[in-house]
Amino acid sequence: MTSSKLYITGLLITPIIFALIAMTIGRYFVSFSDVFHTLSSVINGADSQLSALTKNVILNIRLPRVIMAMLVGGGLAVAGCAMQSLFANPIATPDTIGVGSGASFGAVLAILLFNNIFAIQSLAFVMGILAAMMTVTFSKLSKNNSIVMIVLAGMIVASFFAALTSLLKTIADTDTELPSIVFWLMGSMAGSSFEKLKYGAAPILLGVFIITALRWKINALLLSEDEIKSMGIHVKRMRMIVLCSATLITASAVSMCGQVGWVGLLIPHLCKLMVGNDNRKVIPFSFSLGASFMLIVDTMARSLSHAEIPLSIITALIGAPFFAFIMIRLAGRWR
Amino acid sequence: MRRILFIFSILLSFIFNLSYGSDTKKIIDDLGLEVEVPNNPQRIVIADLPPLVHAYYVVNSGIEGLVGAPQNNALTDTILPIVYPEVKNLSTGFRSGGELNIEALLALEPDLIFYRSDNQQTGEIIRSAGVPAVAFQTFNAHGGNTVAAVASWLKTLGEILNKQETTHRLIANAYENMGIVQSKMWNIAEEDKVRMIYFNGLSTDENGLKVSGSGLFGKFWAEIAKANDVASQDIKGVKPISIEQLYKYNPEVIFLTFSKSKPENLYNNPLLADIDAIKNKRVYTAPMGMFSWYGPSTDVALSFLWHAKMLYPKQFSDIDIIAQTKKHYKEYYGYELLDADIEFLFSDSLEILRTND
Repeated sequence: MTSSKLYITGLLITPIIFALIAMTIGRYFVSFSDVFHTLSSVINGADSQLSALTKNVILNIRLPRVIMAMLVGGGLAVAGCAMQSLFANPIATPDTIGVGSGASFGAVLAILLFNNIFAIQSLAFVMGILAAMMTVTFSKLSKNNSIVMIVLAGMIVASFFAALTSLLKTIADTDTELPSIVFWLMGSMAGSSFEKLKYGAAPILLGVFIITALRWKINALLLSEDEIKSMGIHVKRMRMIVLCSATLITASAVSMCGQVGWVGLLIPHLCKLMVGNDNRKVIPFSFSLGASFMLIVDTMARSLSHAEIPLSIITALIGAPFFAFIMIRLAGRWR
Repeated sequence: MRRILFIFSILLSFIFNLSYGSDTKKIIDDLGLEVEVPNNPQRIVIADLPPLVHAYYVVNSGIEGLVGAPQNNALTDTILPIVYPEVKNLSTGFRSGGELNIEALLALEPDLIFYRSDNQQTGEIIRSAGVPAVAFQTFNAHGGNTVAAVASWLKTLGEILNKQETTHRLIANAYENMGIVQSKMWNIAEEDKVRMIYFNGLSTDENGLKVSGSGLFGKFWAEIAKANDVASQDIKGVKPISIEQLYKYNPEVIFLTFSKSKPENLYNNPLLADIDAIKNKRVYTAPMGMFSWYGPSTDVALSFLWHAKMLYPKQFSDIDIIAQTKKHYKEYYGYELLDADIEFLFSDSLEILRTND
């Protein structure tokens, strides 16, 4: 009992420690005690005696960004984890089955047409779901339910939506709209604010909550259809709920900070290396590790150079060699 | 006694308020937002919209009070660093190419920040940091009307810096020259209008011929000088076009701005050889004055004359643009243009400019 309590505490505390460290790092110098005093003054209402600018940097610039990094990183890792079980496929992630591209297309379309956060979120979600449906349908039509088919179908759908996004880029105004779209597609949390979190946090938390609550049943998805039915689980409904939740998380993440690659693929595998294949452990573990990983990546993005570095560049630079390592380690388990 | 104390305290608070209130003032920015700005800002940073730097320099007669601006060719490839070498001392690292790093910006300890009005996200983040942020109308607002664009910048800058005088003279001068061009060209017949096209290399990727279409400055210069901006019928904003499309337009004059290619590159391209502008060697690069003369700048008065003369050299042969430019730079920027500066400005249009009556 104590060991499981310890385990849960560890899962909760790790990202929080990373968050506190991340809040002391940045281009604008803020010391650890400044962060501590500012945060404690918010909690107990005492005056922290710091300059208004320092307080604003901590509370209005870094805090929403750190929260967003945790939600997006944790959320994408959980979504990746859920999709891997859903498709019984180790390389199914929101990116590989086309949800990321679909959601990006929806978001860019909404930027050009409406440019408000609610429209961006809704259209990203609708297009993300559409992309997932297309991938599932194509792979089923092939009557060959192998791992390769779903990845191929995902590639087809992803490149289709990527082409549509490129088409929109040619329509966008090259001086004003295009540079922001291009940068946004590579992922950035530079625009973090509590205003954005107000709309974006709830869908991610909802998706994570549903998937976490269903983690026992998600384990069962890896069994054959008859076996699942014998356990009293409604397979189709179950699959639909998991798919929608994972898409909800991805679309919401895309609408807040663009397309951030690799997290959904890398983190669940890393977790499986550490705690085994049981989703009851892997899913909460993925959230914790994904949140911590994203905090590190985003802190690098905003503090390595004077200018912001797009997130996907860093996740890919870290992710690619790391995943190569995991792939070699796990190669025997994938068929 | 109590009443006296009461009146006294009201008086005191009134005086205190007066002196306290004079530290800041309220202005309305280009988004219509009321912004409380310091009365004497000491550390201003321009978050985006690079041409604001030269406008600031002109209104303020120097860049004192300005500490940062985005890294951009407006600060390096124009005549600005020659006229005013101090611009090289501005901090530019917080934004290079990509997105603004808000913390690097705040590390400059600004007390006032200027940003581009269509970049509302930037404004929100700056405000959340508790620093006053003033929106300036974007580069290509006003449907390409360069005078209106530069006037709106100068007006807001003048209100903030408490300096309006230069602005009035400069804008009046611009409209005067616009009138000169219009009065010469107003009765030109439709078939006599010169076909022109403006290539703008500013956009993000460098491949292809990027043409400046309707709603932009090329169209504006053409309208004032009564030329026919052939691409503006089909193209809105800046878009790449094919060589075949260019042959269909067959412009008589080609203008280049922010372009990596020089007129010689176009003359030496065999694929373009049969286009009228190439055959007659009528390709001109917009002078990189205080900013490119294609766009809004404090050189806008000269820009009217230069475009008109490139399009219709005969009609404008009585106007000595080199002399006017020297006068303008002396009067508004206190700078005597050297021969080398004239070469720098008018690299490929000198020949026409020197053939005056």
